[in-house]
Amino acid sequence: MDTCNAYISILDESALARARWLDTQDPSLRPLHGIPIAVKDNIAVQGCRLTCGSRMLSRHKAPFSATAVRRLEAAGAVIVAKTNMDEFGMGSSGEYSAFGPVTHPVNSFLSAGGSSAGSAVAVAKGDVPIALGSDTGGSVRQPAAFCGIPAIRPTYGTVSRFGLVAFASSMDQIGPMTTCVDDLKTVLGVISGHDPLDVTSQNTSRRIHEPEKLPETNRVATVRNIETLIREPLIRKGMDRVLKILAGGFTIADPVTGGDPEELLSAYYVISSAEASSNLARYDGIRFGGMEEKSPEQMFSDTIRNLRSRSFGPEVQRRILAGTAYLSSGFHDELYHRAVTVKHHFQKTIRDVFTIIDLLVLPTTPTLPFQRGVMTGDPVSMYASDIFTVMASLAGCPALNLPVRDPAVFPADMSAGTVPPSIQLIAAPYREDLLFQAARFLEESWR
Amino acid sequence: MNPVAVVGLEIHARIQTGRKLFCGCPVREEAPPNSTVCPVCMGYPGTLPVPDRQAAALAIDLALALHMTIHRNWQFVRKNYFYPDLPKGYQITMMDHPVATGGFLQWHRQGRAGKTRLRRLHLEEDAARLIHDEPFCPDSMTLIDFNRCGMPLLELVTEPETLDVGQVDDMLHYYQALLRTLKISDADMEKGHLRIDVNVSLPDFGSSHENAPVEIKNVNSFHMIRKAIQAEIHRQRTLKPVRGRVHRETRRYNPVTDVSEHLRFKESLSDYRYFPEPDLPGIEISESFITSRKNRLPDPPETRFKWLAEELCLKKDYAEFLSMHPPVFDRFCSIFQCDADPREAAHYVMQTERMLQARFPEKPMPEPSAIARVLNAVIRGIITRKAAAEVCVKSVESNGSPDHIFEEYRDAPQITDDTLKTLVESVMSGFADELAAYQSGKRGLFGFFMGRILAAAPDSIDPVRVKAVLERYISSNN
Amino acid sequence: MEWNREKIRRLAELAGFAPESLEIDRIAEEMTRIIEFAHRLPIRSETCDSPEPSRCLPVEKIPVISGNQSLEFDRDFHRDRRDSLGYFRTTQVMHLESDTDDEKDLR
Repeated sequence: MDTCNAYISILDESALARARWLDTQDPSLRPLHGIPIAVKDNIAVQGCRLTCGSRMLSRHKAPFSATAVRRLEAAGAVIVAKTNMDEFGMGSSGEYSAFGPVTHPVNSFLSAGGSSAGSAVAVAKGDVPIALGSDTGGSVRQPAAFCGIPAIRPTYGTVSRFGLVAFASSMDQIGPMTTCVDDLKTVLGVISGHDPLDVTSQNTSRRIHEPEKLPETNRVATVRNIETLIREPLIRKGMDRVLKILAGGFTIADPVTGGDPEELLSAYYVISSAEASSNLARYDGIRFGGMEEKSPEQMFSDTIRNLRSRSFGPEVQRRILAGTAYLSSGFHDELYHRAVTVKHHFQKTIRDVFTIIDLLVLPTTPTLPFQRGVMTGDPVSMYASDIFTVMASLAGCPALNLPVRDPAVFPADMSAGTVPPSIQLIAAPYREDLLFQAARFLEESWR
Repeated sequence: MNPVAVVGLEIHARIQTGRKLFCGCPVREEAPPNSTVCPVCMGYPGTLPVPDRQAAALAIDLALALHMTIHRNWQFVRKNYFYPDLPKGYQITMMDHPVATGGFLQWHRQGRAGKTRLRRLHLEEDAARLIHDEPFCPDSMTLIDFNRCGMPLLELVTEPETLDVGQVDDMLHYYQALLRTLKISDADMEKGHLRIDVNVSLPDFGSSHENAPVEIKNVNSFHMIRKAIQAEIHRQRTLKPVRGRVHRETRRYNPVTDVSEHLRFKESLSDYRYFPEPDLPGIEISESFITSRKNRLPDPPETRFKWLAEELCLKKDYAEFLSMHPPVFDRFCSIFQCDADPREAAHYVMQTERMLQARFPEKPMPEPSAIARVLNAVIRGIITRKAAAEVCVKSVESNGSPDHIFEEYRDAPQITDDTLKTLVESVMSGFADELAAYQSGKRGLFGFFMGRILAAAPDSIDPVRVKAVLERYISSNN
Repeated sequence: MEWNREKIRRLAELAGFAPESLEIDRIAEEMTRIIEFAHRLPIRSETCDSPEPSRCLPVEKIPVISGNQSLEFDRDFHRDRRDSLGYFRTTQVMHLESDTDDEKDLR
């Protein structure tokens, strides 16, 4: 069976033991009783390897479980595998893993997206019904789009980050990836909610369980002036179709002006690289991770520099270098401050937008899955795939990826060997309920 | 000669909440290496800091006691650099939005007083402990113990002021007493609860902007601070500076040579790449929280001193000691509150109980109310002070209550009148000259005679009896 | 800002990398492109000095964690990386730097 190299660890022993124990339990007690779940390898599962797709942590085992994982297990789920990913979450193609690239489930020449490539593939292939990914600038939504599955990036602070290896702390969130919107909602309900171990986590669970009926005003809009950024006609077609369907139950408002997408992309990369350069400074090989032969004559500074140069991949090194420059007044710290200003300004803009509309509809990605190997030559070209996803990350808003399986867009005779285009729904913070409503409305219509 | 310099201090006090600042690890002195640690304080991947509310409360207490302006929005930042004692590769500290700014420290010590303006107060986490010493480390490796890592520190920065060495010493002692009074820290320099960096520049050395302060590190005791400042003043005075400048630098005081050694030139702020800590939202301090702390704030040492010296009329040196030693003060208060005479209570805690604690380090001290009763018996002349001390010793030793021991003393068979008369005669026979002096008017000597006789008499003797016998002796030997 | 070799070296050291291990010329070129891309950020007049108001935590709401009860972890988590005395070890740490020319002038 072709695994597409989606997995770093298969947890057969522990999963089996757990399954046996669950057999002795009343299945009605736990909402996810016996459900197998794959977890991205930057989310801690106690006693299992936690590699983050990196050589630096290839032998590291997590001494504790992430809160999201503990909640899933308390709900009866069985963690069966840790999935492959772009190293430390940095990448949009699944090609930056020290454990080899992840390949697309329907066409192995294509990228499965990233950084939650393995998790997207695991669900798309049908190995598991649910996977956990992590989204910083689109790392849950983009691979979900490339693999044709629903996924959600929750409001920042909805799911505890405790146990998620930090990349960009102000934007990281754990997000579920599933086969249908209902499951998305169920899983989010299980893993979300305040955690005393994460001070940035909020009490939000009540929003996820709002009643199903549509409110009187449910205003939907697209973002002005982004058409030129969509490079794939099928995606444009998917957008048009979705808006037509939504018009049958929602109010379609005039397109709104968000920020300038290019500026937002830059802001995202400056802030995330800066935070990453700090978050990855802990990898010095002393307490955990990369073991180096320590020669006593060598100075500490040389020991760790050599270790880090050998154990981080090229993309991670680039981001750390850039991020360090963005924070250092000897280099480019004016960029960091400008990026933060752009972010704050954008958050205000989005707050205003969500007073006049309830849902934004836009593409998830500018292209369909690209060929593996074409983006890795130029660091900046890869960043462009995130142009539609960084918005929700900067604003802290929830965003849902939905593959457009409407027969008018993605007819049955076309579906072999390709994936449908996806669209993205964005709502105001803590309005995941609106996302689920609209997504189910769409799912129903093309069923 | 009293050398004077422009001195600024950075004082790090370890807050004793029993917990680290950002994780739930307990804090224990003398714990085996790397035993009071967890994945959070060791910076393991996937961990996050959670601030401790008690540390925040104590920070506010200190800011109140120092008359500082308390900021309503605190923001932690990351100070980034690589070093083995810093597991995350950054320290969580504060920069532009600290706990408090402004204010002043008004100190009083042994009759001297002074005041220094303050710049800022903030919270930060401590780093791990590194051991470099050769004997310990084969092949020049460095050993790391993370027990200390993450412990809460309060850093106070003073405004540079012209001070002499004695004033710096007084200021630091008073600050130490204040930290103890507020129950923030034991502030024991030997145990590393208090760490001080001193910035020294000469006031008369060209205009102030040409003269950068020199930071002295590795001063681990009050004595060393005095010596280091003196040595540094001397060094700067005798320097022939190039182009009339003293360079901004960090030096390390060497107690053996009594001179500071160059460590490095002052790092510019940019190397640390400070940015707001994304894992910790700004902390909002409400007016009501500050008020609740204000209502519970203990009096500072100076206020306690006034109360003890002026209201309770204790001797100045007792008042000084008690006000500067909070645990002893607390003990004094608990006994005083049981209606003990303040002077007796002070004498007890400062003399008797210290002796008891030294003799019986593992045993608990007697109940305050029982001690108060014994002390009142001394006041009423029922037993001597010396006998009272013996009662306490016996009660601690036997884990009994002072009340029982005291009764034993009181009910102990007394020596006969004849024995007492013989004893008085025997003691007084050695003081013929003094007796003569007494007869010719030196009435004060009566107390002296009493003292000598009581010292020779059994502890349980009633001083009233002794007084009567002595008086008869004196009149019969006229 | 031009990314010459010296700048890349300094940046690499600050970032915790060994300059010799980097393909300096390639990195210089990549950094130029990355920083150019980053420079699309506009310069706005309003600055953000104070903490984000939406992300403020009232001090009364700081959770109280007593002991480590909230965190379950393997108590022996670092056992295999410590020496027999219980310490972690690393190579020489530079805590004293040598004299610079300036200092020599001052003597």
